[in-house]
Amino acid sequence: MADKKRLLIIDDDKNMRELLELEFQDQDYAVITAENAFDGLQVLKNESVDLVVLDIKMPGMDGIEALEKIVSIYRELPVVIHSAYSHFKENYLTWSAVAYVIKSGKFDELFETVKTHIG
Amino acid sequence: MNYQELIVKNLDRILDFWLLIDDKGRVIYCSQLIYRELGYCEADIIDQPFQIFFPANDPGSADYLYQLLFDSYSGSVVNQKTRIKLKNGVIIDIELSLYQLDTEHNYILIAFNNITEVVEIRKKVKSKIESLYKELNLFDSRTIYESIQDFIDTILVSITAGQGLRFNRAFLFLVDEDEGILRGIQAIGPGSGEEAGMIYSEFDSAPKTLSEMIERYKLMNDTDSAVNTILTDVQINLSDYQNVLIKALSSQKYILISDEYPLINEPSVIWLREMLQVHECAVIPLLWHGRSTGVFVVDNQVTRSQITTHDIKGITRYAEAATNALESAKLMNSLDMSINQIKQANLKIRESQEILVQKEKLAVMGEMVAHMAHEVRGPLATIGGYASRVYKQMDESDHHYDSISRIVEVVGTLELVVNDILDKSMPEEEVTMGCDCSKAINKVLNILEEEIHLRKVSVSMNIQGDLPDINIKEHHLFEIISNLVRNALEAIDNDGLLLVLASSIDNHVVITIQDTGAGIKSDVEGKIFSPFFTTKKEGTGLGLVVVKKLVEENNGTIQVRSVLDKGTTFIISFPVEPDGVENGG
Repeated sequence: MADKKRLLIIDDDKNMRELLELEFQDQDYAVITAENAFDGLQVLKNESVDLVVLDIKMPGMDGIEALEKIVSIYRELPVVIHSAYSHFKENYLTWSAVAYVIKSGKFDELFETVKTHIG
Repeated sequence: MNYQELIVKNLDRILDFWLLIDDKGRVIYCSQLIYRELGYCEADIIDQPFQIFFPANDPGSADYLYQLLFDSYSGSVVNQKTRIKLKNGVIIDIELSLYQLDTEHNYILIAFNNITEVVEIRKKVKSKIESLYKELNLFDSRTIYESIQDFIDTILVSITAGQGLRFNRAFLFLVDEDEGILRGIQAIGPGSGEEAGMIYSEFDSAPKTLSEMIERYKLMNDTDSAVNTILTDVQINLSDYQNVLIKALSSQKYILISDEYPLINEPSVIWLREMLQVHECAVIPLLWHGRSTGVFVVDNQVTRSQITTHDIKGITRYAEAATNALESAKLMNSLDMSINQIKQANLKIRESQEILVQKEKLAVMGEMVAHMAHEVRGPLATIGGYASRVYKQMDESDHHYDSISRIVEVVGTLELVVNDILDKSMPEEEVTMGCDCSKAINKVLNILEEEIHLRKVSVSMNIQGDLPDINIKEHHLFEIISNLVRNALEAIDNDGLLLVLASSIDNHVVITIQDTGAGIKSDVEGKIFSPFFTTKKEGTGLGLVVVKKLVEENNGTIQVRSVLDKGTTFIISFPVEPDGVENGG
């Protein structure tokens, strides 16, 4: 039996974080959550992760900076931006992420995207 | 030698109006002009108290003047403005000076000038300007014309009125600079001897002030009168230097035309005399700040009185005041027009400002709404998400099924609403104006100057002079070139050559960035634009990914040529924007 794919979810909204955890667990993924970018980077140091779901608007280090850091250290690690904000979708600053999904109560798009990149 | 006689007899040549008063305030001698001009005869004045000259309702003025004199240190009071009356009862304004001649006998010399006309004009101008100021808010072009007409009426009446300069007739000509002519404007005077007689006797019996006469004249409105018809269509070219009127105009000196005038046979003089049907007349130029603005021609056609130098002096001074008044009126006119234009412009500005403020308000509101929508999306997603989870666990029989299904439905609707709002409020696509490549290239090289210097890299730049603009956002182009140059510098590491070229080929702008660095291995050459690919020990490797995406976003192409250990060349090409076409919107 193949090991479950491991997801890291970085989002400062507790409700969203825990919802995503439940949803992805339902989809048979292993989920680790972090409430800010620093904690997230710490997780990446210590754990093996297959894909990162990353929020943009966070206090402290924001998603854009976190994206750059993650991508420069973990070059093969796909990052999916998951944000309430539409602005950055067209901005080349987020082009090193593999996808940009707008937050919604329906997670179909997010699941599709994750599945496409890591199965 | 009887100096007394000598001086008294000649004082008339020095002073116009004068009286010698004894210690009892009685008049001993007076000037001839007082008889001629003020209407008094010897019996009226000599041995009479000086007070007789003062109006009945103002006898105290004489005493006041005496007091001033005795209080003065210099024994004189100079240019005191006061009023005296003529024999016919008419009041005139004068400027009066008193001199204590002999303290032993307390003889006083009083000299004065008639300044009635000047005072009247000044008063009229002042009140006109005041009323014009008041009228500024109710600007009406007719009002202004009326006031210029006012002045012309005032001036003409003053020249011919009893209290004024008392010429029989006056003809006003003004310069029209646009047309280059001197034009006859208006005239005043009786058409015949009989008419004159009527007018004069009327004035003698019921003397009026100058203002009353001006009012009456205006009411008469005799533009069709005989004298005015003389002036109709009279136009003289300003370049006609032989013409006597133009001569006065250009020399800025009066010309007295009488039988003694040396140029009596000059054609224009003959013309003037015949036009006016007169032997003797005076042409007085109107000057304003050194420029000639017109002329008066005055005559005594009816009474045939000789025009004296005194008369000329009077009218010359008068002409100054008149011109000032006329020019002031004209200035007020153009001032009013300018003010009107300014008011219109201000109105437009205010309207534009209001529109701008509206737009700003809307923009700010739009931003706020967008911000709110973004803030709302996250929580909305969690509500919807949790509600969905619950909903999926239920079936129709469940107690709460209905409630939950509604929540899920409504949240779904709300998300659509939010998306809708945000779609609408998305800022308009930045208008991409024509971008000048050389600016971006220079900017990058300036910013990286220090690194270039530290790495001892020689930079060679060749940018075509008339490089056309390309359709790309400037900060995108900057990012592209910055990334490529940085890569080149890293590839070189130390001691190398960097070449940057920009030229236009075949309707495209081609930028070449070449380095003598390490080069790229052929097997990885194809992968360099892949995300995360980098052979560098550190660094994001996202530079080239971004570069490629940016180039392609802006309709460009990027190619790379590389030879290991020799160097790398990046070639990017952008289409030239057709003339006058902007992207975006």
